[in-house]
Amino acid sequence: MRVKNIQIINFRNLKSTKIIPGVNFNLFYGLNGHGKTNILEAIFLLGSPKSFRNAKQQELVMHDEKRAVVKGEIESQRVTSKITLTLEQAGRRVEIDGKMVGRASELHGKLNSVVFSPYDTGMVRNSPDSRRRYLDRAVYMADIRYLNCWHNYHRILKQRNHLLKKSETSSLDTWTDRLATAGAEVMERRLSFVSNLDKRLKNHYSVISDEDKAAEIAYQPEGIKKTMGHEIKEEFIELLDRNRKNDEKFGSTSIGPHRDDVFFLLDGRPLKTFGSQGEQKSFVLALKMAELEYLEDIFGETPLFLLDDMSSELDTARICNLFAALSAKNMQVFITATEKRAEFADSVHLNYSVFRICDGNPTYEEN
Amino acid sequence: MLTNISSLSRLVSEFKKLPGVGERTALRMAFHLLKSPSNLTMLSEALLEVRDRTHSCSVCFALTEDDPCSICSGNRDHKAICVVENPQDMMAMERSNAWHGVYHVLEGSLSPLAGTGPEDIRIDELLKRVSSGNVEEVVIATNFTVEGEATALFLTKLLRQHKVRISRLAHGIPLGSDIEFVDAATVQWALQGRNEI
Repeated sequence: MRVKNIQIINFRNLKSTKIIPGVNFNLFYGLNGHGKTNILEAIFLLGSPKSFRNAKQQELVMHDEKRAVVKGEIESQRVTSKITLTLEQAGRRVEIDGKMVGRASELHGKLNSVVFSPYDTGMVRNSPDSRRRYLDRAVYMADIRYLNCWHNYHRILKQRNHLLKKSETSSLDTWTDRLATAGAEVMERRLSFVSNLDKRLKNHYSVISDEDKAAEIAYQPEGIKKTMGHEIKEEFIELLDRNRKNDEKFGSTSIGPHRDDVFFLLDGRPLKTFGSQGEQKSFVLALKMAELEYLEDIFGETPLFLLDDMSSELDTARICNLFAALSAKNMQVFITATEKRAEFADSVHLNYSVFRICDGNPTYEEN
Repeated sequence: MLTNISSLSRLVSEFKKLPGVGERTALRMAFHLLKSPSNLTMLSEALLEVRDRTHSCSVCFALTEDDPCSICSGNRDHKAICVVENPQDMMAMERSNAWHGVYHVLEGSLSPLAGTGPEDIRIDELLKRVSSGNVEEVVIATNFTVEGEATALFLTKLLRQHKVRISRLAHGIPLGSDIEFVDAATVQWALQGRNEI
């Protein structure tokens, strides 16, 4: 998958910007606050229903403007299509080749991108909530059916919690049963995704960090031991029944995929407490590489890789290892950094374009 | 200007309460009616007539002018009941000409968020009909939404205590559509619910 050109209008601090990126590596460099990450965000939004910065819609539109527009020509499966994204107060509109798209899911798989940004390294130390958000987004990218069962689960959860608050119990068993069915589907899909990622993780970690530690990602739904959908359902119902008294007391469902956590382990020990900062960064980067490779297997095409704030996140050795790994793939990469450093270009064996960003305006530089 | 004509303003306000009607449409409808007084008379008569003459059937809770309704009193198979959420759903079933049994309209579905519990919809009445002993089959035709599915499950559990055949409406690929254009979720349902031929 590739972005052939992109036009960004009234998007955050980008008034009107047009970029024709190179087919492989693209570096956006410039001072902080000049809009480098905004360009990455706009590229990401062409293929995704939500920003990787968890931004609200109105934050994306330039101050005092009615709407932001992002237009891009993308190439996927040897077909070039034009995507136009309009962001307004009322919501977002997507057109593919001039035709309005009704549902966000129709955009699914058109332009996959894997992002590595400071927001991602934060998730190792943050609350389970941020890891869950990562997991949900990543599973959705790989598995479009996940969206539907995730929405179902949360709708049923809302209904059940409302019932628990009112302590009316005549239909509670029914809602518990429905919650278990939908929850089991969410857990099953997460389990299969995480095991696919885990298979690939160890190798990527050693390539990036030059260390021989065993990196592991594990998802074990709380209180659940089984891995098959219908068996999970039975276990989950029992679990919900056991917690019923407690849930009635607090008026909400205390256990289930909406409360689960994903575990990151290094040599069997929790990364959060035992990993150094450098190890945590390498781990998340390896996780992203595993995700990239998994998406590549599913879609038969390499996604884009968006590397935000490279210099602050990674040291030179790791960057060179990463670039070498990405160079082997003949894929499109977008990088932001505060300065242009020669050694990075040396580790790239492919086409390398450099843009200097100043006040939201990119200038192409010959290299 | 509209506020000076309080009767017109009232009419527009009433129209605006209707689903799918905004200020502009409401005004357009009001002025259209004003063009001819007979339009106004006919509409007001029709409104009063529908208020006075329709009610729900005391047996199946369908919308009717007679009691029991023409389906309940007609020459239908009374041993088979099709359970729907509301009268519109029942009309859709009737349009198909494929159902020869009778109906039971629940007048809603289970939704704690909307404050609808089992006692707020016509479940007791359905169970009474079933336990009268003449019913052999119940087809559950509630909607395929979170609330409709929960209602179906709730009913199934209660109906299992009676000697009746219980079935759920099939769902899957719409008639006349190409499989290639059907979304993944629907295809998955259709595969799970496939029939042997």
